[in-house]
Amino acid sequence: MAKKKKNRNVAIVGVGQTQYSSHREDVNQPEMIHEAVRLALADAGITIDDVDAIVHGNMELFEMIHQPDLWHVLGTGGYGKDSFRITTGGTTGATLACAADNLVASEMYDVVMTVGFEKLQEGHTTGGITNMADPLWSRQLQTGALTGSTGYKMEKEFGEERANRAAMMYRIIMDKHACLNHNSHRSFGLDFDQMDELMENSPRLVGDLRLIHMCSQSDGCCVVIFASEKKAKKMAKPPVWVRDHITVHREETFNIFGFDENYPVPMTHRFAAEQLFARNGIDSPVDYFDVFEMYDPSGWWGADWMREFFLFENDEHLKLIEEKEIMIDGKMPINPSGGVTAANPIGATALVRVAEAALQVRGDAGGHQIPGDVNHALASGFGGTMWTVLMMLERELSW
Amino acid sequence: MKEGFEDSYIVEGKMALPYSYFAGRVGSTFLTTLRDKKKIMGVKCNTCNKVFVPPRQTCERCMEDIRDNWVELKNTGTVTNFTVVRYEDKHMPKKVPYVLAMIHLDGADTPMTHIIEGVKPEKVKIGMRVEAVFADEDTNTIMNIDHFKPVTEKIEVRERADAGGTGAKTYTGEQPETKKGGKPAMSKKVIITAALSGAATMKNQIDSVPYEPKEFAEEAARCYKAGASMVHIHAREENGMPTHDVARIKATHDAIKEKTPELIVNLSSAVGMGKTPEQRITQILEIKPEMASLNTNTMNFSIVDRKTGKIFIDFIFENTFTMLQDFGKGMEENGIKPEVEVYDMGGLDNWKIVAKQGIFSKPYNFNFVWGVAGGMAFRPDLFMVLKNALPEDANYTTCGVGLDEFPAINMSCLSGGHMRVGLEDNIKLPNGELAKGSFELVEWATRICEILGKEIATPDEAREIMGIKK
Amino acid sequence: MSDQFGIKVEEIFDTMEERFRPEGAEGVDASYGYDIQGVGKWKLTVKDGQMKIEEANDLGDCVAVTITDADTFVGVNIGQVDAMKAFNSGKFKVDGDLGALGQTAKMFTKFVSGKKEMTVGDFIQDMFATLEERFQPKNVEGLDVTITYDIQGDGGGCWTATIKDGTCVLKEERIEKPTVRLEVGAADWVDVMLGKVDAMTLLSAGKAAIEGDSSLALKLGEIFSKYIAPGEMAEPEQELVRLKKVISVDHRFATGPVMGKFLQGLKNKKIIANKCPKCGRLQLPPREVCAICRVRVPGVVEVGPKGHITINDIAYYSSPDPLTGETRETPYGSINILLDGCKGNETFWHLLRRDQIFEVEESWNEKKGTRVRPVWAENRIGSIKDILYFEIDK
Repeated sequence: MAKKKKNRNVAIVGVGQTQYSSHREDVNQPEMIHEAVRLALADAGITIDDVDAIVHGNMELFEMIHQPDLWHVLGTGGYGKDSFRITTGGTTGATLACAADNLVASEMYDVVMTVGFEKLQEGHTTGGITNMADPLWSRQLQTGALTGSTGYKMEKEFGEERANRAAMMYRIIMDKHACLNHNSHRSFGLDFDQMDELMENSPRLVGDLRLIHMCSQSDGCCVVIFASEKKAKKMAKPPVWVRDHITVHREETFNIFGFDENYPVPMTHRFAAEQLFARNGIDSPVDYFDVFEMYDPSGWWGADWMREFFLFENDEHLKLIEEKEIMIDGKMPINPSGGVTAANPIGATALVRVAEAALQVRGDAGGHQIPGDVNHALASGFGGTMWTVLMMLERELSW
Repeated sequence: MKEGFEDSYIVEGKMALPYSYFAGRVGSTFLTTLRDKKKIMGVKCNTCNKVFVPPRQTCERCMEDIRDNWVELKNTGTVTNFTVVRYEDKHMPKKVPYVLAMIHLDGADTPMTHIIEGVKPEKVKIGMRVEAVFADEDTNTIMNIDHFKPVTEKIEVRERADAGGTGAKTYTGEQPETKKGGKPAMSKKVIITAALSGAATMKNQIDSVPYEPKEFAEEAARCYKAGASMVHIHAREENGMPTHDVARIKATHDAIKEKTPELIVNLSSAVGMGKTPEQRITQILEIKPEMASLNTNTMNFSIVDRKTGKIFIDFIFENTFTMLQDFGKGMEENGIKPEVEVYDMGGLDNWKIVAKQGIFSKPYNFNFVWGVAGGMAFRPDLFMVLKNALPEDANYTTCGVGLDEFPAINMSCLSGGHMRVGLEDNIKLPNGELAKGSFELVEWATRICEILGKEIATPDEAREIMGIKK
Repeated sequence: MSDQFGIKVEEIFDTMEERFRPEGAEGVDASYGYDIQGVGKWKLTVKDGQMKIEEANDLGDCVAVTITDADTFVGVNIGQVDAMKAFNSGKFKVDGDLGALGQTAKMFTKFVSGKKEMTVGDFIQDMFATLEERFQPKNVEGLDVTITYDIQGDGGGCWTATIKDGTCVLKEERIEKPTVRLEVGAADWVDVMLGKVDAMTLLSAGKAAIEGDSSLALKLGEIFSKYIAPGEMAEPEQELVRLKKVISVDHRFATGPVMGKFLQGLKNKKIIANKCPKCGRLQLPPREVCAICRVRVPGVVEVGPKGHITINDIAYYSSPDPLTGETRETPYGSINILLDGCKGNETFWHLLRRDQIFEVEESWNEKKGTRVRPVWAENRIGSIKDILYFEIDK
């Protein structure tokens, strides 16, 4: 795949996030959004007048609001500005970032603000997700978005003990990261010595996917501001450059689960990673990137998907987990923010990955800042039954 | 069926998704205050000074945090726009048809959408004043206001007793010669006439124009209270059309007299467009009011666009010498005092010619009419020419169409004459606002007396001045 | 010595030093007197951000002297008596500068009784003693359930609340098959009730268990008002409005010719797939096009109806169907079946007979899973539910 044509460079210049929480009864939707908008504008050192366009997104059907971008103008500051709404399921937040990059790179706008939000407590997440499926077929069988098949696959390949320990180790590391991030919705204070107890006692949801593995349902909003190179260089804080991004979709895949090495299931994650790294000349992503903010809906998926994103073949991903190299001070830190199991306001979740990756590059992540320089960051989004978005961020304009 | 689609069919289904909505702190304060205190609260942006309702945490234009700047609003407001919802759907908040309106609450800067009830949809107008009616049942939504209804504005009449409070009423000294208008005996007190309806003022222009006898009686009573001694009426059908039907006119006349026996009722012998001479005079002779109008010349009496000169309705108002003679005779023979309508100098001269027959009793009473399309426009010098052409023993009053009303009556009052106002001639106050009724125009006429130091005649004093024998 | 609301007047004065906030006393240089009738007199001296409290007979040089009885004084301090009311009724008098006295409010943190060192057992007893009065019948109209609290460890016990006809009766008893049974450690439960720990956290960590109708357990916060520990005042929290609604719309889906053929096939006990003319993969259920090759897929192929299990997802948790409100009984087996005639990932998704979910094998590479066959519904209407479930093909 050819490299994307960009008319000019684009940088992330401002990030704002609300505290993520199980419910925000004290604010309505535009009010919650406004909290993050304010923080992002302050972070960028600009006012709403400097913003040319707004890209707004959340999940469809989750809050039961038709045309939310309309009544959210109060919170976004979109009065009299070009506004677009995007909804692509779980990838929504990542698609917002891609759209903003494209809008600025195209020279249509100089400064674009992305707003990803969700108030899951106001809606019925399962009801909304169920409506993703074909009404005549899958919807009749489906109740929610859970599967234990990844666990099964890992157990078969690496043995039950090792697979379960790796998934739980991954989960505990995420919780340790979440404890460092004051925006986290959930941070239990789990420790490695609780692993056996959790593997035994945490209620099972599906197969060996347990409640502790699963992501939360959160309320919250994330805002990221993108600007052209010229504008970005004039701003107070160092710009974080958007090097490249890729989106890979495929048709819904409710029915393809089954494991036979002669018939591998094509993974969009691996496909996206291969294309993106090839066109940017990156041979070993695990060596190249200093941090990876991954959309990891559960401990099992987080552990398994590392293999796809880093293009591993064998058990390198498990080794990274087992040797705790994915911890904040490890060789390949994953989700210093705590990831999706720590906070999951779905429409914002994938944008939070981009935002957190940018904060790491800029050195502004606070309590969960990685020690040492962060020059190259990767962020992912996941949605649908198998959709992938990857975005690469850089400290220097040096590629 | 299209080939290849034999197996395609429709599956009926249902989607029912529960959800909830968190109003937040600002929204909750608004809703609980509505519910518990029956008060509508807004928030004010201190940067642009706009008051928003329903309230919001942020001013969308200034991006200011305004959540704590609570302002209590009135429960009343003005309709700035509306639509009538007529199609039935299960999601509708009310039974159709209902009126969905934008209401600009008093004290707010943004209109609020709500429902208007208590008035027929076709009667709702932009500019209408409405007030909130709170719901009995609590829903914790904006429907804690059940609907808005038209404001039942208390009609307060500025009474004649209050008129001239600082002027003629307390003035006990002798009138200075200059204020006596040259005819001290006749001009000392001013007769105010209220022309309640006319033939052409309709409810779609102004709601307070009376059609029903009861409405005439109520409006006449208010005018009397405000200072009018006489009312001039054109009776109307239920649909507002002017009528020559004796029963309807009598019912209207009697209703006024029953409610306010003191008042002089002055019936029209013009009635309305397209009436025969017989239809015009018969009713007067049968009902025998104390006074009736008597028209003096055949003239154009058209409806035109005054700005462009475009003719809407061309009409000849027929008043031959014979009619002047016969109508005049009939009135005098039946003890009905004619009010001679003068649309121009020729009309006055016509009367003078016919008067030579000795038909008319003294004193004579004239009304100078200004601003009819076909008659003359008001000019102060022309007014004086008319006045100076009057015979001995004559009273004069005046009325003007539209903007001519107040200049003309000022001139009349100043020069020693009387004044006629009312919705027949003009529906707006001097400040351009729609009058609440003829009574409010009477109130303004009394102010002229107040300024000029004139006393307002009671009906009995008016009878004495005009020579009406009760 | 008197003892009001379980607190002695002296305790309030004795704790003043530890409750003192120098930042609230900035620039204050004054003495304040307290004449607690029948108990004694105290004098508070504040200067240079320091304070001294002492018993004193002479309150002459104080800017303000509070004169009240022990009951009122303690009551006001612990928030049981409204200070303004006491003042207005004359029970609480101030001799001198009332404004100056007002300053003292900023100088001290709120008095909290030392006696409130409640044990876990005390809390548990208090919680269940107040459960019936915390019942909110308005929120649960028509609810007819039994809730058993199985509180384990020191201070624990077993209570059952029976909710019926808008009333709640609590008994210290264990019953057979309550609607829902909660099992949790006493100390953990106290933490949950005091809002220190989120109930989901305990569940996630396996420290609590719910048996029976789990959705009811999640509604406990609506059924009972918040527990407030003794001596704590319920904070006058702003009422936050939450509007609950259900959006309900009817819809009509066109099957289209391909899905229509598939569903009609089920009516006739046939399972139909179609085959991409380019890549050769089978699609099940059939699709109009192959999304990978972007070509129209003509014709249909009959597969199965028997096959072998590739994946058996045992679901222990089932969220209620938003369309019907019904919750599928757990655990259930959500299976992928490789029907005869299919290969690789061309699996078919359905449910497994509930009593067999732990008896089947899944496939892995060449190793095949347990053979299963469909069990057809009596009345078939052209729906995926025409197959009730699959069962082991013995």
